[in-house]
Amino acid sequence: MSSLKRKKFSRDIRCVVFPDEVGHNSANSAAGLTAPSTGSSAARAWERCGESFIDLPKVKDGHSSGRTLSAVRKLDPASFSVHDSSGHHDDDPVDIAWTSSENEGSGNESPKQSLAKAVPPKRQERKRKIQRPAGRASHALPAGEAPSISSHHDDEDPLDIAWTSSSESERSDTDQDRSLARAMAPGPPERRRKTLRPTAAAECSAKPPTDEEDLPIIDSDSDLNGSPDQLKRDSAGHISECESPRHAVDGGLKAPISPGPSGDPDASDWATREGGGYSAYLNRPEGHGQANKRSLGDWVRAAQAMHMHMHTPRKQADAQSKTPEDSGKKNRKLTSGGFAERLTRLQGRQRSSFSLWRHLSIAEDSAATAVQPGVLVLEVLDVREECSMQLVHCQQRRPPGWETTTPPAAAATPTAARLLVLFDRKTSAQLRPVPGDIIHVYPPWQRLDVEDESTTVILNTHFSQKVYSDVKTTNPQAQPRPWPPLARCVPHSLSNTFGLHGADAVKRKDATTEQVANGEGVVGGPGDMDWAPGHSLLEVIEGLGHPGSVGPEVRVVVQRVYSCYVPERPTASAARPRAPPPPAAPPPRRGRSRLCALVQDGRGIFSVVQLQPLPWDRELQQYTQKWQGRACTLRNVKVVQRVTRERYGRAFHLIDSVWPPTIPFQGRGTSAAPCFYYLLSGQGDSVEALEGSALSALYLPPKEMPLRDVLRSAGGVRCHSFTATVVYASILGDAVDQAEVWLSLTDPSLQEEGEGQAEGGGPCGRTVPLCISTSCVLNSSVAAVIRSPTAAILSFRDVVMENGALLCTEQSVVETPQPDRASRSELTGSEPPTPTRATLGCGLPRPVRLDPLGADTTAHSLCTLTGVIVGVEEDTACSWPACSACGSDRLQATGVGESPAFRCRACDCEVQQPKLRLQLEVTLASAVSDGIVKVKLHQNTIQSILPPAALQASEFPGYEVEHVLGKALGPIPVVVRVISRTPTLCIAVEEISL
Amino acid sequence: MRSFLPAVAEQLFKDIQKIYEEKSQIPDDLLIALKFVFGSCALQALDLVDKHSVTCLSSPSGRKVYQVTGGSGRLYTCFTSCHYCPCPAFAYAVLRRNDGLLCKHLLGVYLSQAMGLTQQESVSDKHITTVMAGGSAAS
Repeated sequence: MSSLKRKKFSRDIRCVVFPDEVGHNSANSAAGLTAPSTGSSAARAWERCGESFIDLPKVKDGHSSGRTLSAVRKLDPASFSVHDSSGHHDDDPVDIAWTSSENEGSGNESPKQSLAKAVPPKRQERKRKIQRPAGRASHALPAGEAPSISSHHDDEDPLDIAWTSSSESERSDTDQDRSLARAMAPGPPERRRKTLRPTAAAECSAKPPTDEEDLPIIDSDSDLNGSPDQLKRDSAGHISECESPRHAVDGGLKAPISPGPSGDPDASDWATREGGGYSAYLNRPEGHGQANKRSLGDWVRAAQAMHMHMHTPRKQADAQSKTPEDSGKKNRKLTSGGFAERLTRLQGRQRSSFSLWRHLSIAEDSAATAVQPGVLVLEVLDVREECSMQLVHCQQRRPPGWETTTPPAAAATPTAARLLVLFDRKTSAQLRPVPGDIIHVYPPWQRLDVEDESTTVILNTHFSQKVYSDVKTTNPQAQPRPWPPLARCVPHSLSNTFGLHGADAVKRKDATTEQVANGEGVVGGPGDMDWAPGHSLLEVIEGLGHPGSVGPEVRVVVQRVYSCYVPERPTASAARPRAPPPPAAPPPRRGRSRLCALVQDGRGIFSVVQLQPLPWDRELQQYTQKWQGRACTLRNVKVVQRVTRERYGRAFHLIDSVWPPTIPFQGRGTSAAPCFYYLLSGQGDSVEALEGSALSALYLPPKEMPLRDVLRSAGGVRCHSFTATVVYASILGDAVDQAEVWLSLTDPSLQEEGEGQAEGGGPCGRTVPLCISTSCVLNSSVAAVIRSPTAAILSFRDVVMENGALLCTEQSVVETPQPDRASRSELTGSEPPTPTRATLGCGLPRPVRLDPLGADTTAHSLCTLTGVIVGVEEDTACSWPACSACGSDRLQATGVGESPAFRCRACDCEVQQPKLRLQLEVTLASAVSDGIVKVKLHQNTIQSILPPAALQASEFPGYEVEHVLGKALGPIPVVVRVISRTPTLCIAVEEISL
Repeated sequence: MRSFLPAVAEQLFKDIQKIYEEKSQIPDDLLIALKFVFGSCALQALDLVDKHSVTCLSSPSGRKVYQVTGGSGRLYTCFTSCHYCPCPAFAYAVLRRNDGLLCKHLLGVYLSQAMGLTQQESVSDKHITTVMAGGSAAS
């Protein structure tokens, strides 16, 4: 019997099998016979093929055995011509493909080289002949006409194959069948494959070939890329040829085959080249083929007959059920995040676990092993079939050890539970449960209590096994037992529906129809408008399966509203969260601020929603009053990022300040703080407050505290809110909105008499420094307050206190106090304890009290300094004229002589008497023990310590250091610029004026 | 012999309805159970639910009929009080071979009902008459 092997080379290759070569070269059978070392046997086989073609009519029966023969053909593209004189084509193409898996031949030859080698007629050639099939195909092809393939090859040259038909007169009798056309693909050699496909008629006439008349069927995938004319010829049939991998690149069969004059698409170039065999002159010049035209129709039939019996061995379907699922279903595009997609995933998991379980259960004899916990041990009582499932009434058996000792009947106890076990088609086909059987059902089975029937049904019984040993001991005669006809139930009545048409379902439908009609999702729909803990942001977002838009509405409570700066292209960054991070430089404060909201759903999951830009300062207050603390619907947002506490710990300060909640959430405790939140991106309508809703019970308002309480609060990093007076501001940059700003704050609680260093809790200063980072949005009015040299009041919300320092981050809100205190107190939920502007005005002493400079003073803090000048920084001491009008030092000298005049470039006025500006840094021996205090003195102080005579002169004459040394200073207010504690305490301060 | 499988199916639908009302989601085990009881229909029916393919047409006269948009876009009309679907699968697998309780369209109707995900559409009496009479549902 012929067979066709598919070899996995660089392209599909099929080999021809010869019957008697199996034993000779089994080791090389896969590689083919025609390697130089084994070429003789192949040649013998071909010879025999040729002979058999001659004797074809005598042969009645045959089969082939598994040797492979392959022929590499290097064909001249010009040597074959196809003439379709009749225009007649068969509809069914002939599917015979040439395959070469020859080992001989120089695989490295270029097509031209191989062609040149193949062309010379003088060379030594060995012929290989292909037998034609026997049977009815042989009747259609008289003796001596069977086409054969002669493979001539040198040891180093690729084979060339000649097809020959000795007579043209015989072609007409099988017009329908011997349609053969050659598609001569003029394309690159790699693609030169030709297929010869059997016609339907040839298929009908094919019979198994005889033992000695194996036809080497040659088959390969066709790859037609010929011209339209060639394609036309192809409609009748074409020869397909696959070169072996070695020769695949070396050019192949190119010659077109011309249909014969009889009208059949014949291979007209087939001519006998030697003996009785048919050789195709594949390598001769065009025109020679006309003399030796020969129909190949019969050969096609023969080859097709071979094809019927030599086909690729089909993959044996595994008789055993591998999976409980139907894995062969067509691919459907399932809705992302939908039920079907989830079920697909679950099926995949179930398949895997079933395969593993089956492997393990086969590996070990489950009957001999002890019953593990969770395994249902069931005795079959009754079996019936319903809708391709088997419903098995079972008695659950519990006593351990019964499997080997106790007969099932005796083991039944009155207390044993009766179950209805469902087996699907595959499982029941394996189990073949009959009454008396013992079946183990391994987890994960499922239990379904049918209320109306008060029956327990066991589902998902894929992991089931029959325990045969018990059956044998119980009923030894019953193996194998006949398969009893199962009782089949009456089909379900078409008049009975499953009773879900109640008003309840209709009502729910109405509730969700709107959202469906709006094109929104289905998960977590609004349903009723009351607060429902089932609406979870987590479920909605996780249900998406991938980052995307959250369609359904989710009920949330807006805990905070604030604004943050956004990059120039916020949409791009939102859409591509994995975009390369911005440069390490701190983000400039310039840019649009964007409305943000910290929201919390009914399950306690937090999200930060970035909303539309805020062009106006007061809009934030409006949105705060509108949303903060109220229940809102969240919709049409995109998930930008899942922010985790591990990576972005600082971002959780605000969340921690609204945690734990005042009321516990369903389904989760309040012990563990949230470890993640979602960063969402939305538009203006993404957050909408529910009408008429009061402040939510989930809302934890920012609680304003006196600064003293803020400084004394413990418990790690927390967010605080307070109102304080800005005593001093230092801007570490060019502008307020582009640089870090340090404020010195105080409030009456710190300025009270007797307060300060120690009362109750830890040390408290009279003032406290606060840093406003560049990520914190400062509106214009706040920036004006900061730039103003006079003290002013600002309110701070959600300022982070970390390591005793106050820090305004992007989630903090700095505002000028609102005149509408009523709304503010409503918003915060409590009367603000801090004094109003009026009380502040009289509550604060003038000037404000400061702490004396000490060893524990921190940078950016204000303090008073007292000491004696012990040194002068002569290098930095200087003086310069400044405009008397505007104070600018951009003066241009205009006057000459003894009374120089200046023109101020800043105010563009003549300056006759410029102010004298002085800079002097001195070192003080102060209260700080073992420390050096350098003070950059204020103008007024410098003037007070310098000799008055020096200051009277029109031009500063300078002064002696001795005049300054030893002078007492203070107390003067200073701001601490730098503190260096190693190697010795060194404090650099600057005198300020309050 | 009375069939028992419909009771199992009905109980499954009830459980799905109950759980979906509570959690707005179907747990994994119920999905697996659906697959076990209804076979490959379950996946296809859930896909229909995902795609909101089930519409309940109601007319002023009070008539109601379900329309399921099949995978090919064809509309199948299922009646509210009758266990029937005009699709070929129902004719073959349910009616002729009794291999299954439902086709995917009917199962999709039941699941959509249980989850409250049926789209509602009000149509005229004439339209619903045409639909119920097997005419074209195009409107």
